[in-house]
Amino acid sequence: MNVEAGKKALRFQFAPIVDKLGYKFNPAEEDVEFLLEAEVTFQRQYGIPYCPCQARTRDRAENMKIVCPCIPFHREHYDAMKRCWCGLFVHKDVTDPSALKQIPPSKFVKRKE
Amino acid sequence: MKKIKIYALSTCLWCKRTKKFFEDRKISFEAVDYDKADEAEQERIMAEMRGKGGGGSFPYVCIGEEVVQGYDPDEFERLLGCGKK
Amino acid sequence: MSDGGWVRVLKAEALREQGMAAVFPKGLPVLLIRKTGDELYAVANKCPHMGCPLYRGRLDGYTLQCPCHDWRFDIRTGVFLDAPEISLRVHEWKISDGHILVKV
Repeated sequence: MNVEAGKKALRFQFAPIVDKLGYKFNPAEEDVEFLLEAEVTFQRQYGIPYCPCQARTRDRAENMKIVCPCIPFHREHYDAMKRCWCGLFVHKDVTDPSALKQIPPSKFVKRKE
Repeated sequence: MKKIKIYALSTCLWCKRTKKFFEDRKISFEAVDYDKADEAEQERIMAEMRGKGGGGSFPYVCIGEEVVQGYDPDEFERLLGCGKK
Repeated sequence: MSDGGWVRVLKAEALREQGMAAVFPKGLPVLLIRKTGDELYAVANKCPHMGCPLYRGRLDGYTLQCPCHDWRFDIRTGVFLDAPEISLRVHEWKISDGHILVKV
């Protein structure tokens, strides 16, 4: 499968899932293309579209929590940012994604406490 | 000048933007791409990140003794001391 | 064989306790799971994540884990345990004349 077809397939698979979770693809189209391309590369290498901005380790259970779309496994954290960590998805009401910030997981935990 | 160290992923958009932030300001930094490092180095980086309370979310930027996880230009400026009015 | 949406899919004796069977009533991928005796469950045999068949997934109690990326579902309700907005379709089933029938 070529990269463009791979990106299209991921859009097709992920759009209905994130829609149910209250998210949509980031309107910053160039960013989406970049991130999807990275995921297509992971699919070719490992058969799995991992998050391009989170690290895999040797722990399968941990790695499965960063398979895109990983929103279900980081819900409160991402809802607080109105975006997922890599920014492929944003809350449906977001019109200006550049105004959204990444909140480090450590700070988010502290805020919750 | 504070020492700057960046842990990144070669696939990560925000890691690229973080590196560009420092390049644009002609501020030198040391950068390691976690996904290009060998297994021993990966374990060392992950232990360091977890030790500071961060998980495996990139970018991870050390400015002097301070740590910023995520692309946060305002925080980079503040820690560099060049954003002061 | 079809009647009011009911489709005969399998001989009841062919599904052992704690066993699973992939069936295709009217072409739909459905997973039959027999816990004990006549306690059966019928859910979509397609993970809503990336379409992997759930057949051969790991069953732990009432939790079925997708073999591809470990998404976990409650076979009683079809609900995805990490985000209840997402679920597997659950099908009605019955046993008649020694056969399992699924409603689609």
